[in-house]
Amino acid sequence: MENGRFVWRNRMNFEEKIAKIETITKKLQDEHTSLEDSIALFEEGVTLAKELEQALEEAKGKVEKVVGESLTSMEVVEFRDE
Amino acid sequence: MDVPTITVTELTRSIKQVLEEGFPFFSVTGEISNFRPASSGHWFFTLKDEGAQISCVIFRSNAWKTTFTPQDGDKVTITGSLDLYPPRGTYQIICETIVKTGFGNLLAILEERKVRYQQKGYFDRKRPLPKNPTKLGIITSATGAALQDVLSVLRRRAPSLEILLFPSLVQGAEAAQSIAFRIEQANLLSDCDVLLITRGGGSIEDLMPFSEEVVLEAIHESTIPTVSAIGHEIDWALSDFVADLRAPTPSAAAELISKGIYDSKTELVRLKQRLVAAIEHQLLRAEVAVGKVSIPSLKAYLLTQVDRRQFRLANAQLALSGNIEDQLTHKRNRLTLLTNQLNALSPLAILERGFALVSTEEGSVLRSSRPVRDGDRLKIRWIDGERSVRVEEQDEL
Repeated sequence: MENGRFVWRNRMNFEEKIAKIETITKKLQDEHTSLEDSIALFEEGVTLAKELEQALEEAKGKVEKVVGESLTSMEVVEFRDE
Repeated sequence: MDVPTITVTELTRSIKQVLEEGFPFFSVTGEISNFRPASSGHWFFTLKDEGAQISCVIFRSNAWKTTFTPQDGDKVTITGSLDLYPPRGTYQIICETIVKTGFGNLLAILEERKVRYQQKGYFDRKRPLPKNPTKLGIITSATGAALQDVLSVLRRRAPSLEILLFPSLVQGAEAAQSIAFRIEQANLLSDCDVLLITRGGGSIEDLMPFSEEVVLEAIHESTIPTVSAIGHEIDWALSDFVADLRAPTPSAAAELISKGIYDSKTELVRLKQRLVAAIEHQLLRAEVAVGKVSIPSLKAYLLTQVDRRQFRLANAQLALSGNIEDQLTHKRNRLTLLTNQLNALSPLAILERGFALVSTEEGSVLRSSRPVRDGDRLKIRWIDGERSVRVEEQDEL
């Protein structure tokens, strides 16, 4: 299932990005991290946070509907309510 | 014939005694007609069949315990006792309970099935729902209120969640097959990471398809985690027990399913706050370090390098939108100020460790010995001051 795998990978990315931000924050909290590195880390963290925010807030507005009564041939169309 | 003569009241009293003691408590089945709810809260109606009819009353105290409002034509079974009303010389049934005929049967069937599936272990599997689902499959009527409730909650709490509707019948003889088929289809498609099986409220007969064996089997077979939300809080179906999670209403199901996504939003806000706090702490340390430097020329030199980075940091700050934007705005001025001094820290730290910075008389830093010729004048900068020097001879390296 190509589609199923795609979904799975996306979900891992989400958790990974959260973990990455945690790591970055830890490094930033370390007094031995140079300021130059701190700025780069901060930028990276902000970029990741921004991506996650977009992923969460993005209104895909995608509601689809399965049509057809066959198990083997299935069609998916956009669902319009009312 | 020597019969004692008695009064109407005496006769009626005797009849009342015979009737009421002869039929103390019984169950009777028939069809309701002439149903008349009174403003007092009591219900009056006639119970009849092809051959006879009898007046009935349900007093308010029992009427409110009844789960449905009877209508003319309803086939019902009542329990109660006989009562004679002397002023009118009529008798009636005082009803204790009233249920739709077949309803009792239905409950018995459900109870038997519940025990059987429980013993088969179908109620034991409770898988966790995915924390951040990508696509939700909904098995319900495309035109029902349940779907609207679910969609409106999800649009608000988890706009990023994709939804795939598997339209199915939700009541009637073919509903169970339809629901089971859609569950199987959703699993074959393997596109959704959580399935919601739902419908709005209804009578026990209406909800019955969700308790049918074919549906219970399909839910049990599902490799995708399932949520069952059938009717209102007080309603239930056996699907509630077999599913991985039971929700009291369709809206509540939508909230449970979107909980992870909703929590992630909160977590993200917290992460961003920690990120800002961490960089702020670094900046504070820099401020303290820079404050120790007293050489104007060194400060000036270091500050010239800062502009580009300051710009970068300001840009990064701008990218942080959302809930902490307000908090950021009032910090930004201070951050900009600090950033001016920020990058001074790393060269400073080096000087503090005893190294010195060598530059030409014009002030450009020498990174190599190669351009230096005998007799050149250079500047050496230490952490606490600078001196002018002249190159006497060039060592061969």
